[in-house]
Amino acid sequence: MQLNINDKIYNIDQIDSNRKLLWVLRDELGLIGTRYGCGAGFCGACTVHINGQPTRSCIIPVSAIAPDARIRTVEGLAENGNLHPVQQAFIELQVPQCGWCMSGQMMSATALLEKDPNPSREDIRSAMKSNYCRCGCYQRIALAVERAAKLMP
Amino acid sequence: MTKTWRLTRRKFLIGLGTLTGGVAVGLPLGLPYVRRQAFKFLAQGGIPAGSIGNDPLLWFQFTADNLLNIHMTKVEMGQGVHTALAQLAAEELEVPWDNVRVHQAGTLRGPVDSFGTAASASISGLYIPLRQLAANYRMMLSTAAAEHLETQVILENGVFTASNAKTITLEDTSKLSLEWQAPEEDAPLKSISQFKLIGQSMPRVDVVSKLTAQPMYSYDMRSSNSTTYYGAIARPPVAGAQIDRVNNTTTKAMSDIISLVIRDDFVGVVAKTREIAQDAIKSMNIDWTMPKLINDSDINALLTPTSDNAAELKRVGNSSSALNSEAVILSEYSTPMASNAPLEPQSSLAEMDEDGVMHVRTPTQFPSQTRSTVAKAIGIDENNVDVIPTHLGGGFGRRQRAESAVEAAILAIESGLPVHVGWTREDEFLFDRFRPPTKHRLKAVLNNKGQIDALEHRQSSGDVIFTEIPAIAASIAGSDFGATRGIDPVYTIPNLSLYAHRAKLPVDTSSWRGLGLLANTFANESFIDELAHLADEDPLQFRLDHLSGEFGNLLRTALERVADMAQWPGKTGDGVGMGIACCRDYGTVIAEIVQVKIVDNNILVPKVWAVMDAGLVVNPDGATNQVQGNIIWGLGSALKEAIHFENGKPSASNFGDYPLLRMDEAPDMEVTLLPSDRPPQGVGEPAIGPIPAALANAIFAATGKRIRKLPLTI
Repeated sequence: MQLNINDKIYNIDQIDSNRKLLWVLRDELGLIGTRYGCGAGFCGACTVHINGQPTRSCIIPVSAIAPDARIRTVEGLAENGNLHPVQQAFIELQVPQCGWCMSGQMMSATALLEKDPNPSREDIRSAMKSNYCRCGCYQRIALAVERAAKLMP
Repeated sequence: MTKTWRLTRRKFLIGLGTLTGGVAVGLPLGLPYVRRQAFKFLAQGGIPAGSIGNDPLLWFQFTADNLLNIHMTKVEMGQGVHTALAQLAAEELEVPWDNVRVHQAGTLRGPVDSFGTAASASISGLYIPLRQLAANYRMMLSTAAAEHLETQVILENGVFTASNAKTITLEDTSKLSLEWQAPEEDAPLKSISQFKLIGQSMPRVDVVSKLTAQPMYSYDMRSSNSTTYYGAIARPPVAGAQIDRVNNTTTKAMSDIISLVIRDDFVGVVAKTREIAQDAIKSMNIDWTMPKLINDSDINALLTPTSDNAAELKRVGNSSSALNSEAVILSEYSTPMASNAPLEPQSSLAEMDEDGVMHVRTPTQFPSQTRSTVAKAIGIDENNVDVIPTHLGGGFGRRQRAESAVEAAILAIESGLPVHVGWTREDEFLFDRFRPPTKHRLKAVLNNKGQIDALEHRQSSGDVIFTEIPAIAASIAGSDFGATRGIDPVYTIPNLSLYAHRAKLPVDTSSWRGLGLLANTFANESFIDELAHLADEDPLQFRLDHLSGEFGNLLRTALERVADMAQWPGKTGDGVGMGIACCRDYGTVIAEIVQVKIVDNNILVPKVWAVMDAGLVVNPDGATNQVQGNIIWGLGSALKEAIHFENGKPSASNFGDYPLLRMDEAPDMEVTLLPSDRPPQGVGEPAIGPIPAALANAIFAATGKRIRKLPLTI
């Protein structure tokens, strides 16, 4: 079995296909940028894209992922050494505190902006409401998503 | 030859131990007096931040390209402490900001802290000592550079320039000698007007890493030398249950494990993957000796604010006779248990090297304590335990202990393998050390001018700090200074008494953000609001009328400013209103206004304003982020967070049972930090204090309903 992650093919024949995508990414493939928060789909720390859709990697077994599916993780945000506009905006606004939720926040933000390049504040609050930030950086996250919208090519 | 990093064996003091000594000296004066003095000392002076030693070479190291490497004793959990401490050091060492690199010290490398990272004390506590250490090092280097260049030198941007225009970098100067003498007298420190970095919003040193998937948290740690293995631990059905018998170790799931470790109080396995380890543990049949299964009613019965066993914390005038009046006003408030719920569940990587040193990468706020605990658990000398704190995916007080460090170390020493043990979210809730529940009974009498003549606050709380200190010290101190944090009202009241009752609960409670500040401020500031309305006075004006003295004046400025920002009292009625509240937390004062909108009995919070005076602020943007985060924490507690107990179990096993405040519920926030020449004070917690009361007061303004219990519901 193979997984297409960030446009790179990973062979996972040796891996139990019942395992959740999150732990295959983190423990087997070394892609630790996708974080674990609850293992039950509540907190959003593990958000990745599957075919552009924000998806909770902690609840989806790799066996449920179609062979031709394109998986994108936070490691795939930067391209050719250039940070993604969402990353740039999050840095510019000095968003994180502890930072553990931030990969998931940025993946949700990126999925939103790819669908809707000019979201209103309410659109952002609604699209991002299932990504917890325990440190309480919500206002900065919302402002950074608005800033990223301006930075998107 | 470059100077190598020195590994030294260091002695340290456990900061909290000082309480015992200080109190014991006062014993002949009588216990009630001693207890009041201890409360006064701790309420005003705060908790010491810990000594940092006097060896600059443990802290600072120059490397290629004239980079300054700073080895931090304090751990970074998102509060920005590494950045702010680096600003303090680079300021005095005249190092350009781009040349600063920050590293975490461990128990075997770099400086050691006698305390830990807690109590909003890092910056306020190290503001002078760390700058002094840096300034002394600068003086040592200046002397060496002047000798080397044979003339006077000026240090600018990390380079010494001599009058003959010759130059030498700080890096090259640091390599002129292997032996350095500390100056006999401390070097002069810069004055505030000379600051270039302190007071500036320097970008956080950890932010780019946190946004680019860098391995920096404990859950990301893997052995750099060999394959990492994964551990899982048998968890009891309820906290406090003890292993009675292990019945079955030959299940199919067990056939895939590499190592099984059974001790009196511990059953764990090591496997190639996390899932194999967890499945194996789940397949085991273990008999547990269950403790008494507690319920909320057991806990409630122990919270008795009017108990005769309460410790008297403070007595001004004679409130008992003043309150013996028919006009006495009485209100009772309560706050529930709550979970810390840092978003990263705890985990640790333990790995023993060929020299018998156990290296443990772990999310601890108290590395020295964790070292002792690990050493004891695996029976090796403390000096062979290398605790390396990672970045913490949230701390908030929960990371005072790092249980997974011990678990990983046991599995690593028994299996001889590098082992990572990661807790699940369910483990986090089951074994959280909760914010203690509290009850408060407040009484007051107003004089004929409508001002407070007498006030009494009787509080009952589960343990906070007492969980961590020897029983003897606790019994002498009488009151848990973590639980009583924030109980002393800022107002000038002629007759005032404060009492704290220690409820010894059958559940593990401990530090939570701000400790008792949130609960006590909720009670105090709700009650003040009630008194203001009874006196038919505007709640802002009523507060201003009761302020005097240094902190009263600081708070007056903060209250007036926040009222100005929010255009107090705003529009009221039709389910809309504003509430105001304030507090003093050690040397910081903060005033906050919450705007509420009630829609179909749902409490919405469109906007919050905050004005804080925390002395000189080292990094204003970082401090603002802390205030914003505390506002969200305060609202989460005010609106949602509560843990109940039923049949020995906490009511939450995952976030489905314990929802946190979400982005679509978060208010717009406006934060002002007041300029100040006072030395830096704490910023990581104070802003949490007034929020629940300000919201309850806003609900009263909007609806006429007074809610005295958290979480607030209409």
